[in-house]
Amino acid sequence: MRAAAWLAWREIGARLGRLALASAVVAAVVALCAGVELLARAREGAVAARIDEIGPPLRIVPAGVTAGALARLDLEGSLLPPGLADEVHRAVPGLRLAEARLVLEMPVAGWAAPVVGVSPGAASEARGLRVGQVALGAALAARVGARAGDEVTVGGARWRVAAVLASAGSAEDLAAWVPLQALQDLARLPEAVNELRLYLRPGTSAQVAEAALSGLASRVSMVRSDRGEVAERGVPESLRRHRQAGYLVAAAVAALVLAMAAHLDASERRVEMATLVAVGASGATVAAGVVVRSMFVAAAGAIAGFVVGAAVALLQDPGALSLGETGPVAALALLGAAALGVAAAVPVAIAAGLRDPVADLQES
Amino acid sequence: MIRAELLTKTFVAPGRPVTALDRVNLSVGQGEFVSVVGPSGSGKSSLLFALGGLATPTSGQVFLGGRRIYDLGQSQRAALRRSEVGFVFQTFNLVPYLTCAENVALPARLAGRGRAEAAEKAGRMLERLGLAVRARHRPAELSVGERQRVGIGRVLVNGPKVLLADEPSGNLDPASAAGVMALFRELNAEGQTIVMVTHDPGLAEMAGRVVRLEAGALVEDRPSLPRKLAS
Repeated sequence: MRAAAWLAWREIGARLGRLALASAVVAAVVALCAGVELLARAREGAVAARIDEIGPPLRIVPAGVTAGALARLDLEGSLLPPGLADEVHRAVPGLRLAEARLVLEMPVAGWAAPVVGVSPGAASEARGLRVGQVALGAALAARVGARAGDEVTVGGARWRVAAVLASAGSAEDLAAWVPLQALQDLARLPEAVNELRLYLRPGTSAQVAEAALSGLASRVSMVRSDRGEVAERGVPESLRRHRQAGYLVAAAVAALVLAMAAHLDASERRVEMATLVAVGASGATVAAGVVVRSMFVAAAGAIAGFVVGAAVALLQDPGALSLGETGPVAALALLGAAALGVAAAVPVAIAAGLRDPVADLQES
Repeated sequence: MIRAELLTKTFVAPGRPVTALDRVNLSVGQGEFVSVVGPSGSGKSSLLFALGGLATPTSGQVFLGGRRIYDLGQSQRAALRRSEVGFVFQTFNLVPYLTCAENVALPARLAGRGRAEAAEKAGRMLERLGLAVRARHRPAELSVGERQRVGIGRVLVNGPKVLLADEPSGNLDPASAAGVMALFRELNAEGQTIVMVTHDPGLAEMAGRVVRLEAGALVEDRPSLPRKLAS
């Protein structure tokens, strides 16, 4: 195999121009698919983030807490049973994020206000708060006369105002937001949580998630909201299926070109491959050479194609190259193209490995 | 060393069966230099390929060092071609995109030797063949005589027991042909077993023994003529 890879590599270096055509077709296919996928994922991500800001489709709160009390952020200090998040993760299919919160009433600059502890990856606008930082709802900031950069006291400790949140027109305007862990420490309630916000993957309905959690009904209350369903979850799924069908067609075209390139290359190199057999290469080594060559050609095309596709996507949408999506799409493009190169060359490789070398040597 | 026993090879050409080899018995001892002569289509190359484990005979067997090589599997025969027999071709059959050094190193790489070890062996071989300065050249940049010497170096790099040459001087000018024959004689003098197919009666007599094939059958097997008589 090492010898086959070495020979393939040396041949590609010498016959770059001839093999470049097949690489170029793969590059064009990958550029198209990767560009479309990056843009689509960026748009889907933006839509999902917007939906998340509107609110989670399902919330779990301590037993007895009503939807109205939750809307007023009035949880009366009641807490969820410990270890609930793990149970929820196990029970709910299609769960994307279970965001834990702790809501307690505390004095903020002398005013009693709900203080919400949120985890660093929270879906709300208060995400990314660090220890010592507080975000204030618009009405609370106005009430205590604080602006971003000021210091305020929360529960007796001093906190820097990191942001004043835009008005949501709800009880949240009168709340303060701090990191979850910091609030648990401040209240001396380690691990305490009194709200779990469940965000679901596209295609998973809140009703299904609620049904999956029916076993918890005696211990907690569940508040289902349609706010998270304002965008039709089925639409992205449908678009994804359409995109994937397009990718399959493009992959079939690339596979056809790679198979033709492998066939023409092997035909042209019959004497060379027969010579390799004569000097001691096994049929498997000859076949591996054909496969490795095709894999190199496809992978080179995929790398070039991804760069072009990503650049075009970036021009279309500056948010297209988000860190979370670029890596998987690049890996998918590279591995997919390499696999396509291998699959397309396998029939040619088998024929080359089984070919009688004597006829080709006598022809030479 | 190498022995063909009742070697028969038939194949079907359009419309008629062809007998390329007809119950050929040939035994070549260690250190012998044997020329195979005969008219075109008499089966000379078929015999050579059969001896080297490349052409499975219709019947009969080839023995190399006591082993029945057509009872071996494909990969074992490939291993045998890597280390125990080697082919020299009329058209050199060098790999065009490899340098001279890489062409010579090829059987060593195929035998699983590392890049450095194979390169070192190839370098020593090119040195011996007077081609060290051509190590980094591609075959297209060499004269035909140099290409054939690279082809011979490629065969010798793994130290084969038997060298099988198919018209090694067929594409060479007289001076280059003489150089190749001189190299063969030198190798033979060092103990290398050589079986050489040739059309050229003069070159054939430079071997120690001449066998003649006609219509696939071995019809003559004799010592070569004394040098003066041959010329």
